[in-house]
Order: sequence, then C-alpha cells, then structure tokens
Amino acid sequence: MHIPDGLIAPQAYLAAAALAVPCWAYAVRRVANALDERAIPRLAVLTALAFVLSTIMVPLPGGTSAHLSGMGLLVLAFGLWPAFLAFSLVLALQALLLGAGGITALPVNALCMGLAGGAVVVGVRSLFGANTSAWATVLPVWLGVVVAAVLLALVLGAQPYLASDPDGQPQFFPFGPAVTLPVIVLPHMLLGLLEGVLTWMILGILDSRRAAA
Amino acid sequence: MDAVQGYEMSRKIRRRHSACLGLLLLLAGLMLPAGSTLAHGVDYRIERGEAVMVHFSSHHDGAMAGAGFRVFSPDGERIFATGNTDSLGRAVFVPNQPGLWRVLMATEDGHGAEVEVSVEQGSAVTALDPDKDSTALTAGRIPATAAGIGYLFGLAGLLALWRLRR
Repeated sequence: MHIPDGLIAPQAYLAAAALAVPCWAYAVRRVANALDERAIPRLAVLTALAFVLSTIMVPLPGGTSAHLSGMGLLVLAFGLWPAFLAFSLVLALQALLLGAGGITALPVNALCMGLAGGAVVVGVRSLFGANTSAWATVLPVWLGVVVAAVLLALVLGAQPYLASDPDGQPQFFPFGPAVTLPVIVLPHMLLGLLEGVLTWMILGILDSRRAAA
Repeated sequence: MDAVQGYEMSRKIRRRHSACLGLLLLLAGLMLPAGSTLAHGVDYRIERGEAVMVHFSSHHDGAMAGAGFRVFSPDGERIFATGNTDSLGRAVFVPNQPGLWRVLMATEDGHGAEVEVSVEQGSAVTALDPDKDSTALTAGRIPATAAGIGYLFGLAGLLALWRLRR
C-alpha cells in the first residue's frame, strides 16, 4: 500500500516530514517511558512479524495484489505511539533493505498508515469496550486499513494538482483521485478483512500464551 | 421514345462528368495554396543510434508490461517522451542532449519508480554502475528480510540495555 520514492512532489513530502518528525520524537519519549523490560522483547518480536507480513504479497480479484502491513496487530498489542514508531521502523527497513516504499515517502506512509490508520484502530476498538469477540478486533483493523488506503489514495491523487510542467502535464504521480481512490481502496477493503482476521488469530495466540505463563 | 431516353441518358452522363470535373478542380484548387493538404502522407526515416532502455520489474510479478512512463529532459521542466513499457517491461527513449534525465514510471494503484539516467556528450549513456543503476537486490529477498529481523532484534536489545542502565 505504501508510496515509493519519486511519485510525490517535494512540497508534499516536506510538509509530511515537518509533521512526522515531532510525532516520531513524541513517540520515542512515550516508548522510552512506557515500555518495561518484559514488553520490549514482545515489541521486537511483533515488529519483526509485521516486517515479515509486509513482505507477503496477497493476490486479489481483478489481477491486482497487495500486501499485509501488521499495523493493526502492533496498535492493538502496544497502543498507538509505540506501534507508530515500530511501524515507521518497518517502513524504513522495507525501503532500505527491500526497495519497497521509499525514504522521501516515509513520512507520508508513516503518517497515513501508522498514525492515522492506527488512530482509527484505537478509536474503533475503544467503542467495543470490554467486548473480546472477533468483531472487536476485525472491524477496527479493517477500518484502519481502509482509512489508511483512502488517505494514501488522496495523497497520490493530489500530485497532478501539486506539480505540473508548463504544458500542464503532471511531473510526479499522474493519476487523479478519481482513478486512485477505487484502484487503491477497493482491493484494501478485501485485504483489510484478511488483516483483521489474521490480527485476531495472532492476538488470540498471544493471549493464550500470556494466560498460560 | 428511344430518342427521348437517349437524350436523357446523355444529359445525365454529361452532368456527372461536369460534377466530377468540378470536384477535381475544387480539390486541385485546395491543394494549390495549402501545402499542408499533403500532410496526410506520412514520411519516415530509419535511423540507427543509441537509446536508453530502462527495465521495470516487480518483486512479485516480474516484468511490468504496459505500465505508463514519462521521460523528463535535463532541464526538468517539460516532458520529453511518454509511453508504455513493452511486454518485457522496458521503457525506451533516445536522449537528444547530455545531462541528467529522469524516467518516471507509475501505475494507477500507486506503484512506480523514478530513475535518473546520466547522459554524456556524444553518447547515449555513461558507463553503468551496477550498484547505482539497478535496484535489484543483490543479496536476495530472504537474506534481506532476515537482515531486517536482525536489525529489529538488535535495536530492541539496545533499547532494553538502555532501560536497564536508567
């Protein structure tokens, strides 16, 4: 789902960086103060799992494909800010090691998927209260994935209006929101369901291990 | 009766000939002042030269065939060429000046890549540096993923050590 380098205009990624840097600084402070010695290895293992999940491409109807993110898993296991930081790390490693996504696009991807998508997961999960049914996990994760996809589609769809040559031709991503919204969001409506079910299963395993310990 | 029919027939033929002649004269008249009327005749010339060829491929689906690409000349302002990659995922263009050219490939679902191609005076491209001019993973995906997991565990270890020291 994440945007690669070269597709977004400098004014878009610089603005995103200006917004993301203070968010990362705040997240580092929260992680340093909130996580204890028992939580750190768990965070490392689940971040690594999110990293591995993000390398798995899921074929979807219509000939397209998308990949899981693990964002909902991190948010529901550790809360918004540690998950935002961990997910940003996953995105950075994907860009540096696997050539997926990008460094200039990292703030945009982190804000849309890690922060906005994560905030939706937290908000919708809180509506369920103490409910521990599958829907209390699947629905928040599904909505978080869909909202993140909508935001990324809007960012990409805005690029033709942000930078064009003297003839009016887009200098970066060339398709407007009328194209990006259906093409990006519809597959992620299916993928979000898969991610929600997977998150519910993994959290169930973690809870049973914790109860047994 | 036959004489009348013959007269009518010859009148029709004469009228048709006049119409044809008039049409030909009209076309001839249109062609005289405007040379562009001949523009529907397409000329061509075959040239041999060096072109820049950029291969686009996806980690999962192989060659990215039929993907739209745009080429920006070194001045960076105008689009020099547009097109779609061929069935092998290749974007081809022939630069007409030295400098740093930019090739941007993007698909509707937000995938794409930006490639910078350095062109020297008198040659299509500079010598290619495999480390710089290709994003193909030299180590492979599984070792790269394993390295990522290692980095994450290492960072967590550092964080745990830092917590213990506090």
